[in-house]
Amino acid sequence: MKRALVIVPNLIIIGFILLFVIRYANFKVEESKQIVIAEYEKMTVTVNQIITNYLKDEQHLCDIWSNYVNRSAEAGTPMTAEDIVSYIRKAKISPEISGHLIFMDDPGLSGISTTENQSRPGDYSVSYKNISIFDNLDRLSDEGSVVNLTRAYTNPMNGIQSIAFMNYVQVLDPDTGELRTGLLMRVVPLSLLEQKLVFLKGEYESVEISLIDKDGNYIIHGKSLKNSNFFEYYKSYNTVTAEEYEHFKSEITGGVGSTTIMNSKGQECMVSYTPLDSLKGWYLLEYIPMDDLVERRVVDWLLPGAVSAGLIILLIFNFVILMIYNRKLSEAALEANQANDAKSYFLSTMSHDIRTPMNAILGLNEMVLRESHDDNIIGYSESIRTAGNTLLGLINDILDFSKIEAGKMDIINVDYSFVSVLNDLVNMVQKKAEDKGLAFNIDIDGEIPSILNGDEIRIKQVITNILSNAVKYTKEGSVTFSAGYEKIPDRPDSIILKISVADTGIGIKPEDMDKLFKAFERIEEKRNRNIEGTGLGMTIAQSFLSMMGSHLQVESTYGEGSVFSFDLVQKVVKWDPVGDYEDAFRQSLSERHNYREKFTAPHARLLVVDDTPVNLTVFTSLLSRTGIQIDTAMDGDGAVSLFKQKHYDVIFLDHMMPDKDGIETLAEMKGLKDTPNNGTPIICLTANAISGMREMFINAGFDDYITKPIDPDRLEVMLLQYLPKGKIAPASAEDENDDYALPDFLFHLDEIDVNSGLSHCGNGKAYMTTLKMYLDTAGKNADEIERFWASKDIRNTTIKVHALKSTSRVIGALELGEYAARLEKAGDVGDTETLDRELSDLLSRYRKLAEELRPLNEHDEAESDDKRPLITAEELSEAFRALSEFCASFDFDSVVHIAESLGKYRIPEDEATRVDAIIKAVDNFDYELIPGIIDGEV
Amino acid sequence: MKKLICIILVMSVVLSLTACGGKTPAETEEGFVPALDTGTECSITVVGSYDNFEALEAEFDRFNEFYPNVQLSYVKLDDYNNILGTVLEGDDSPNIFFSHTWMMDNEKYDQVLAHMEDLSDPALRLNLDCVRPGLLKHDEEGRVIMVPVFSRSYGMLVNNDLFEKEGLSVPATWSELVTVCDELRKKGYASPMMGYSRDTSSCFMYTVAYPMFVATLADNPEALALANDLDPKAGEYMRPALEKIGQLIESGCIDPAECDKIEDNYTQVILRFFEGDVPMMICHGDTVSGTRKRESQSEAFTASPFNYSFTPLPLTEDGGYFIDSPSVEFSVNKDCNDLDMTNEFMRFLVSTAELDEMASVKRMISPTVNLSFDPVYAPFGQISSERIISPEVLGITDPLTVQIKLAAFRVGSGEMTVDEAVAMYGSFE
Repeated sequence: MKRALVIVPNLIIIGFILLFVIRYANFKVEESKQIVIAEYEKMTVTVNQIITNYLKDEQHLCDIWSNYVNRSAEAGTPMTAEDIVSYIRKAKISPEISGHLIFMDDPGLSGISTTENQSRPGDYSVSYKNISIFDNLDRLSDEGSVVNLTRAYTNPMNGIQSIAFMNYVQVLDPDTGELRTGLLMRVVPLSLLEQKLVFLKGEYESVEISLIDKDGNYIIHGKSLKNSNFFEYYKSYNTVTAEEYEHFKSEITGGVGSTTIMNSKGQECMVSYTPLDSLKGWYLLEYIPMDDLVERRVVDWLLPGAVSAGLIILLIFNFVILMIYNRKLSEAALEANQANDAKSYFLSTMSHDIRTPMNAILGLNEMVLRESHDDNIIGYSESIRTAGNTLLGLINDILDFSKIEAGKMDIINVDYSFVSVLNDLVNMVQKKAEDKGLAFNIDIDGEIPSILNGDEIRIKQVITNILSNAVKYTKEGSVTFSAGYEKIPDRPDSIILKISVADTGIGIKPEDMDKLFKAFERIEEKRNRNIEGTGLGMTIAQSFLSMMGSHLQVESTYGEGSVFSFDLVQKVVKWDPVGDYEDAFRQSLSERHNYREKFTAPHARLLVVDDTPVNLTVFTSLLSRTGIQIDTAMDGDGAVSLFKQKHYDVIFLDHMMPDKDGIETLAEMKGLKDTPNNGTPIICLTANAISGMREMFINAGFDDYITKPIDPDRLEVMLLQYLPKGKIAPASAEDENDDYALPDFLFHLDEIDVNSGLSHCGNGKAYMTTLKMYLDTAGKNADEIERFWASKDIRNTTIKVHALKSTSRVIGALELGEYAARLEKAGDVGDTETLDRELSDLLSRYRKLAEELRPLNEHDEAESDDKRPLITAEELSEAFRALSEFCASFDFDSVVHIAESLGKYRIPEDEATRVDAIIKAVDNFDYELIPGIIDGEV
Repeated sequence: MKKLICIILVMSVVLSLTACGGKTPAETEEGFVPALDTGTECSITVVGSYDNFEALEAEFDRFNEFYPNVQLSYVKLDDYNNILGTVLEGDDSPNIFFSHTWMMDNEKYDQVLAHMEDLSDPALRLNLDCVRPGLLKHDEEGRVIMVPVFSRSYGMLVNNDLFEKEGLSVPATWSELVTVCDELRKKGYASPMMGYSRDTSSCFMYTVAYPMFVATLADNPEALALANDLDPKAGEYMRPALEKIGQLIESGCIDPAECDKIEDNYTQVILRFFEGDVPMMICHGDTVSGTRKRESQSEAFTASPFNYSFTPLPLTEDGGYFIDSPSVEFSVNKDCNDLDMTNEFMRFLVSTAELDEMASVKRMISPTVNLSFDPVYAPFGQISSERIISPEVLGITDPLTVQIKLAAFRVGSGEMTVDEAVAMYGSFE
């Protein structure tokens, strides 16, 4: 699993969680902020109340002063300015507070103060000429304020920033004796008001209080709020439109509330505002930087911080765990792959190991079928063929399934003859149906194009599976195979091939339909237990169809039968119709007869290479009637040697051989220049049929391949394809009884069952060849067994006895073979006692049989109708000289070649024994004896 | 490849961080380096006559970057010139206060002067060299007790777009001025030039007459002594300046009746100019400082903004004069609390960068040698050095200034003739 697939979703989830936490924390912060702001606004209202109370109190005190003065005037005893100042000096308690009496009708707005001028001691006169604080006095009074207050201004008597509460008084002018209107001012240092708000410190450390009028001009100016006008300050440091500016002004002067502004430092600040209760048209502002206000928030960032840290730790932990598990999974996957490789190897081996003996079984059985005239034997043989083919089918199913599962099954489209496919299918199924007593009907649309393009093999396999199933599961009635087609309007080069197989079999229950395409599941297992099969057929068919863009459809009525069908798009190569196939088929049935070879090719020459002698025998036997000249080699080196010497029309090369396998041998052959076999097709002979093998062989350089057990028909078809056309002749019409005649004495030997030998070897000639080989090697083998046993070499003794068992059975010496098999078993288990007791008896019988077979040599000579040219004395002498040299230089390939060349000539009688001895030595690989034979020492 | 990208990214981040962090030390090395404990907590108060002094308050913020715990505030004092002495005598006297050179010639301010610290004291390490020498005035003892933070000059605001629209060039000489005004009048501008005329303070008559009078005195050193002594003989030296006022009016360049409609010498002057139909508005530099803020306050200007500049009055055929005199000066109260930090702030403030910055915010003429003008002041930057006159260097005293101010106003307002005004020199009060 890619890391990103784990990390990215984890990060996204973490991101979402963090987003949620942050949003939630922000929400809580915002909530907290709102609470703080609400508290702040409440505080503003409180401050408003405090200030109002204070201002009212101070105004009240001012009013007391003015009332006292005015009542005196009303009482007819008006007070002079001096009297008033004197009175105020007595009445006021705080030394910081002073009283100013100003005459508004004086152009210099001058008057008298209760305190002296700080810079002019003794001077109590005061002037407000240059201090414009009375502009709004009348207006404020008109608006019914309970407090008449000036803005903060510089007290002209002491330079201290102050505010003044005012009221009008009637003052007696001592010079004129008339009453003048004076303005009595209770002048209070601004610091006194600020002291009233000291309680805010600690609560809101950096809060600043300001009072403004309707136009934003400060009455009391907070230190941080620059400019002399709050609204101008706002406009200076906040980018606003004219509408927003007006809205801000109306908001501030409109009631109680709060808003945020940017200060001169670019900080966000909270400003809460409320109209002063005591002064109409004046407004209280409380200003505090937002950072100072929200520091008091309830929610801190510990929570999101802790969550983030936790999630990241979790992510790392998960990642580490994941890595550990991934590593384990990788190891497991590696092991699984190794196991899978082992399985493939096993399948390969199994395929090879099963197919190799199957080659012998089916091949030799084919020979029995061809050559036997005994109905019983033919019956038995047919059963063997059926069972063998069934077994092969099972193996093939398993291999195909394995291939599909591994994803190594490819669809390979080729041009194919539809009739040929039909022939193969019908030939395959018709017999089976017939054997079960079923009617096999075919319904082929004669207009189906003759040459199509598609994967012929897989199509055949699918239909075979369906047809085989139909036959298997139908006890009586019929199996009908139908093929039709439809044209495709949009694709003029293709058709839809419509295939269906209908049977009158047991049918499928609706509830079992699902099992139909499941691997290894068989419907109604108990009922069908006697029917062979792996349960893979339908799965494989469905898989193949799926790969070809189709699917299998099933209609079934339980107990009545089923119809399996599918449609397959196939390209058309030739639109020629296939014609009336049913007629042709019926005719072929009526003309059916026993096997005859399809052709003869006496001038053709093949080389067959296989490390197993029996396989070579089977191969040569299967082609014996074709007259093809066949050379054999048992290993790669031998094959290469022949390859260099002789021209062959086709070479069959086994894949699995000891020392040098088929592919290595092929590579060596391809690497050779100037051989007689440039361009000779080389076909792989293999028992391996698992996935990928075909591609491997073609890629390795083989021209084709054929699997073991060898299908005789396929072999003949292949030869027809690869042999030069000029060397192929129609099959001989000679009676097959004119076969190789066996010596009569063979039929009288007790030890040998001739029929058994013939069946193993394919034909009489092959049998004779095999018998001679048996005879020639018997003496040596017996001696070797004795030697091994004498030296207590049980292992090699057993191997040799095993070989004796096999060869004896092949020639039909069944009892001797059984005897040898018993002793082989004894050898395998280390039963020396039995061997000691019976081995000598076995060897006596072996030698006795060899002695009884010796007439074969005379027979051979007698039967010889040798038309070979007689070798000249010079040629023979030259051959002996060359043999001596090659033996001396250990060039045994050349020795073999010369020995084989000698076989092409008739040898003068005086040299015949010596030449025979040389050829036997060569056949027995006793090359070291040859110089002695030539020199007459042996 | 991934590795390479990672290395590049990491290097980029490191370089970015280096770049981010590198600026402050560089600035500190070249600029202000705190000399006191930056954690010092104290309060510094600056008092002055400005209603608003946001330019100074911006400097407070910048100073707080070095001394975050120093609380600086500006307080406007009502009736500043009269109350300053009292305030300085108070218990909670300010640390820094506005001062003017004319205070040095007025014994009424002796008490104030007594509070002023010698800012040229080397121990204070103030960079007085950054200030144009003509703006620095030394007292009799050679001390520098006031440092100019803004400079002032006299001239006229010119609506450049209007001139361009009318296809005229801004006049650079007297005859060009007369010609241009004639053209403008023909185009329907009743009073091509305008200015405040209701009282003597910042009236256009003074703005016209003062530079010419100072220039005349500069050319006649013997007359300067007479003028400073308020000798009536010096009255003749006023004549060219006073006649120039009459010539402006008589030539139709300026219509006093139109000028009388302007209600105050600051805001209304600016707002009238912003109406857009005044080609030239006579005023001094202090008035120009209010233009930036009032651009948005003027509906006419907001609706139809135009390009304008402050240019010398072309009163002679050689052009105008740049009368370079201090506008606002700062003095340190040597008796204040936290004097060390106060001097530290002054050391911070008296630098080319900070004074220029403050002048830019306030839209005043910077007092530094750098003479880095706002584009509005660009025409003053083009004046040749021989036409730059510093009254402080020349030795112009405040009583002299009062005489020319009153004489010019009265002549301009038609209260007296030029001859009468000349005869009255020394007796104007």
